[in-house]
Amino acid sequence: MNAEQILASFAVEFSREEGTAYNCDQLVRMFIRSRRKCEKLVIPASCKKEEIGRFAKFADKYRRAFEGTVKGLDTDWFAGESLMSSDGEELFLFIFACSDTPVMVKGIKNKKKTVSLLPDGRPVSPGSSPGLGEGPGSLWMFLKKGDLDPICTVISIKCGDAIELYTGTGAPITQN
Amino acid sequence: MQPWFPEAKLGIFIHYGIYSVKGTAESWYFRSSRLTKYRPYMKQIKGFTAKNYDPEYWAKLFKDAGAEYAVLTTKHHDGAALFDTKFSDLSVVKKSPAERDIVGPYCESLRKNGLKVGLYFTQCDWSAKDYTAKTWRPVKYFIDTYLLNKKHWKRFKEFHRSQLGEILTNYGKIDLLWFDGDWERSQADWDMKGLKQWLTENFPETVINSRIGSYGDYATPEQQMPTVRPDIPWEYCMTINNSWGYQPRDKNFKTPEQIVRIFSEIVSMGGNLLLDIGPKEDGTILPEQENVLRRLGEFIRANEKAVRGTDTFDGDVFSGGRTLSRDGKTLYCFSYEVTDKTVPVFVPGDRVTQVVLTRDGKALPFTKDGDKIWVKLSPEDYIYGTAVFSVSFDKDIREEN
Repeated sequence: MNAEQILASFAVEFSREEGTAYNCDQLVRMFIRSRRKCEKLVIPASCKKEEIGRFAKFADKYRRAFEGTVKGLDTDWFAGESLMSSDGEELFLFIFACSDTPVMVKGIKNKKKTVSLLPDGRPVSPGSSPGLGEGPGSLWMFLKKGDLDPICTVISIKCGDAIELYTGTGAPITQN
Repeated sequence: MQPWFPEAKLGIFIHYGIYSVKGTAESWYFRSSRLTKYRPYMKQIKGFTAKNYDPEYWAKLFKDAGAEYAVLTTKHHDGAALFDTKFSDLSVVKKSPAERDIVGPYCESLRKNGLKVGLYFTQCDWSAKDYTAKTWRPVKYFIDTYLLNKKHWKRFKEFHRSQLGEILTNYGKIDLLWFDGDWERSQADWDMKGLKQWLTENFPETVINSRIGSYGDYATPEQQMPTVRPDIPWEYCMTINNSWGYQPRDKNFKTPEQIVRIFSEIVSMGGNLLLDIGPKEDGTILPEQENVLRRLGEFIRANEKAVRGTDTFDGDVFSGGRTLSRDGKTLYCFSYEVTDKTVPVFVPGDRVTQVVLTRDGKALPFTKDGDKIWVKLSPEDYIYGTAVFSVSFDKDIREEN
């Protein structure tokens, strides 16, 4: 498939009107946001073909994270961009980092968590700050420079079931 | 609520006690088996020396960490007081080789260094002979409550109030009282309403945390960051490794990057962080914990404007943390992904007058793009994995939101 066909498969549209000449990185950011808001991404005519081509290649490479996905986590759970599979069983985190970075997600209640990098499923060893009592704590993932995609790194979190989130204000611990 | 508290943003929690001698879990160690574990646990008091206890060093370190207050465990559930009490022999003053009051010098040093003084005092006391609870000595609780006219409990409450009175009156003004261990009896049993009334009448300037039934001034989520903001002022208390007190086997220290991130997220959600350290029995602080405190201090000093004197700002404007200046004219964005690219901020571009790096005012390149701006960041803009930048507006941004 060429770039236009790839993007058409994600319902991305092209405008005839001039606008901001977004580069690939910006198109990726806006694409994720549009998926999150269930809107169509419309690419202005002023965007360079080369940048659109890189964007299309990226979207195709990480197709699983974009196809049929819906809004992910609010920033009170994850302070970054994310999308969720429509069945709620797989969470995709988008990391725009260029060097070693810790990634934190708060309050995933499922005990089992499989964390991997897309597209090849390389495992990421999660660390954690265990919660106590009813709170599940935070899930930390430590990405090294070698793990990073120069455009955007995509992490998959699967829990073997629908992901369940802690929605509390936190509480004192009464049993240690 | 005293106005200093929600503005403080960072406090240091100090779990210092006899449990640091052998590095056992504070008090909880013997809860599972009083028969086999209580005596060995309490024997630790014979090894508590405090020989290198230097409260002045502590206070200066806390100040350097960017803290505004500290909270010291004056008495944990084990009942061993760090202060000189007339109402019990169980204190490090009377029973340990330290033979000194730990609380007094701590209070003085904090005040001298411009820090607010907080004291932790647990409601329960698992060594007091009159202490009975449903979850602790349940049989005794039943007998005392239902068969013996509650006399033990009455005596315990008198003892509890007496010791509380000591820490609140013997060390000058106490800015914050941090209760714990209120869950083993009902509010009515404790007479929490009466206790709060007594505190309010006699110590009106003391902030009281939540563990006094439902009568506290603020909420205290513990080890689980809130995902939904409490609807009253709040303070998230957290360990640097996984232990409150000194436990040498626990090497799972969070990195400065993690602590800076957690702190930033707490501030973005409008809370305080009460970050815990567990000194060794001699009073020295672990280098790993000291390092984290100093690094956090670097971050806070550099980004003071974004951290203090700001409010939370709801709205899907930035994929990171954010706070807003009180006049609504500056949005502070906390970026957690070390990047060399542009990041979007979804605010009306025509309202933006400038974008600078908060820590030094360096102008950051940005382009206006209708309902958003794109800000160019560089890896050198980050301190411990977080960059804070200020977006200035021509007028209060909330007027448009």
